[in-house]
Amino acid sequence: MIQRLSALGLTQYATIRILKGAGSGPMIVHVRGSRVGIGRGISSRILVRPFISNKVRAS
Amino acid sequence: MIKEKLSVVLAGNPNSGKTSVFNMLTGARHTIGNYPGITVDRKTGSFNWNGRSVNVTDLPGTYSLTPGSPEELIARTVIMNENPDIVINVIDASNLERNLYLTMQLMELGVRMIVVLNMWDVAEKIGLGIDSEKLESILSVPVVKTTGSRGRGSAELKDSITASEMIPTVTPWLSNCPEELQRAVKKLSAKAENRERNHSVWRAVKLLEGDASVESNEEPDLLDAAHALAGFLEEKLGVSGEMLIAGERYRFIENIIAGVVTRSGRERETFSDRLDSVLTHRHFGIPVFLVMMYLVFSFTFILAEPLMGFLEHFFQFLGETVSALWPVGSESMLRDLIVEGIIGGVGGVLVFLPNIFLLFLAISVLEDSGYMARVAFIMDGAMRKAGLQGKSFVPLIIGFGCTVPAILATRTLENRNDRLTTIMVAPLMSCGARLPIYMMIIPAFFPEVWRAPLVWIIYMTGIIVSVGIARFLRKRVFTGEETHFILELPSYHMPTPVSVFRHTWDRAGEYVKKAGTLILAISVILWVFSSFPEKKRFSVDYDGEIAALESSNLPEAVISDSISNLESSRRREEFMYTITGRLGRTIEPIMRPLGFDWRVTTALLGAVAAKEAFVSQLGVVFAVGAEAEENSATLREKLRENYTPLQGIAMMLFALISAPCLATIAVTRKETGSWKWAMVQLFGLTALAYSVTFIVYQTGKLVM
Repeated sequence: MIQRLSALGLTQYATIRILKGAGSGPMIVHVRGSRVGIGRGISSRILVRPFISNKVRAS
Repeated sequence: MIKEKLSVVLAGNPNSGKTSVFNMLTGARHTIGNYPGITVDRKTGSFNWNGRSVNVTDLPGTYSLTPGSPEELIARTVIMNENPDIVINVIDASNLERNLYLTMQLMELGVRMIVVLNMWDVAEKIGLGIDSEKLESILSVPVVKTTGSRGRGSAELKDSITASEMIPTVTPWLSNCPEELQRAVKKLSAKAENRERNHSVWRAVKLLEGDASVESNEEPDLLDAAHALAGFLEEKLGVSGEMLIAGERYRFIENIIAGVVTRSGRERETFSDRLDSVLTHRHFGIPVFLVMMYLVFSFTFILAEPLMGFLEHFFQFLGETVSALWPVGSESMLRDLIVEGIIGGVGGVLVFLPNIFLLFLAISVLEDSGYMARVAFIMDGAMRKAGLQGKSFVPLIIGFGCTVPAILATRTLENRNDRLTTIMVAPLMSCGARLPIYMMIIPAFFPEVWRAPLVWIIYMTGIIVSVGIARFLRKRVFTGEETHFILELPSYHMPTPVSVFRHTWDRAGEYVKKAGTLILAISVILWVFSSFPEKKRFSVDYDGEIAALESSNLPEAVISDSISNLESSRRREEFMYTITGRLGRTIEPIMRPLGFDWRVTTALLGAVAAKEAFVSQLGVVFAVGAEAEENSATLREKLRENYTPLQGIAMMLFALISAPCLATIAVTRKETGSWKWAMVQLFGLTALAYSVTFIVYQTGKLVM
């Protein structure tokens, strides 16, 4: 799973911009210049710290 | 030493435009083959330049060299096993950061590499500035700018490929990462060289990442060393080997970006995002999608009608012309075989090509524009409740055209359980081959106004049954952890006619191939089984009676009526003498509870091989004539005379649920890698068809 996330740019401390969705439902995020759709199972496991943008910590 | 012949592969992310670069390099000269040991089609081509001959292979798109799906594994396997002279890493210039992740991994392999910044026109249009020379010097590999879809950069790329010897790449991020990691990689790769010198750095890195597929190829003591080192790293640096290495790759990439990207373009982003806010809207997303699907299916059916009519006439004309090659009134086995067996059988299948082609065309347009990815995203939640997932959606939609390309399309599903479930239920999406059955039966029994709703009900039945089966399978048979949905949503863009046509033809081509091979063979076999053995002596002296009638004084109408009745009887006797006839008679008792008599049973036997055969076989049984098409009024009359509407429904239900054709079973075997699942599919569907039809028919009889 970590591999798939990393391959699409979602690594620890990556900066993401949430385009659609919130909380733990399905979401569309901008990460490293591309757009990724993620389902409930993943979005509910991502811890985000708001920054000027957001930083992501996968858990 | 200048090599005369070069072998080159194209590796890159999905959506990076590899295929247009491939076409740009090889022109029209490419062939499709098979990767040895794997079923995915291999695209190779070649070109000549600067006195050298270059062989190019297009690899499936992948995001990483740790494979997600079986398809992704191919890129890695080919590079490592076949040792191409040059690996061309095709990058979407407008998506540089993420694309470089694969680049980093390719460099870990120590191959000779050229980086191609593709889709350069898009990058320019959105105001993106990339210093390609700086990138070249940072990576120490040649960098070429191209726009594959317009053929720009072709000469430069070919020059680069045929230039003098390149040096193998070095892992660039390694020298900038924490000491402990550097030392771990050095130690492990030295040890890895004991077994094999090749790719030792890459293997060491992968082992520290915990890549299971690499682990399975290595010696136990190397694995132990790797585990120990990974544990040590986690202790020291506080993060797992996997995440550490991924992080280091990206850290290096971020430095590259900072040094190389001069202006960051934003325009295309906002357009796609604005579109997404509507198309993936929490409340409107699904309705919009449903409207889209309705448009797609209407488009397909309405446009296909006249085209199918044309094809029908064409095959009829073909049959008559070929028939005319023999003298009138003559008896010829060969002629019958060709006209009834081959032209009738294969023609019956190809008539549906317009319907299928148009459906695939619509799907390709939606896919190429980027919309289908959104559909997978929107539908994921609902699909999960049905035992599937968002990525199963496109394969299942394709199944409404033909099940064979639908099963092939499941290759994008990374999880084997999801993939198997989807493959098992794909046949329940009522395919094009079943249409003639509905088109013949429905008008035979039901008034005009019922027809469209009934077709819709049949399609929905297929969907509902598939939901039930998929849920059952995913929970009891293909059990496993629930997979998580993650999918790249590429920016929306106008589909190009070339690529749309190419994708359409790829899939429609499967249908044509099926027709040309399997259906052809089956048509011949069916024809043989339905023509032999020949009955020579009948219960009634038909010839005698007919001659007597012809020379009698009865009115014309009475004579021709009686003669046609006699002819019918004779053909029925002939047919019951044949293999198919006898088989049908024997199996009949089993099928009677479903409302089927020996004639329908016989037709179903033919339909086991290919659903298209059902109608023509029924025609043979009722001795309607050589070509029974679903528009044949006489066949409909016969149906109406002999069966009830409930029996008509039973026939359609059975046709819907039972396995569509042997081609499907064959593809299932190929894609799942074993006969077991293919047989499960075949027998499972047949048993399911039997049960459902039994319940419906018997209940119907009680109620009416």
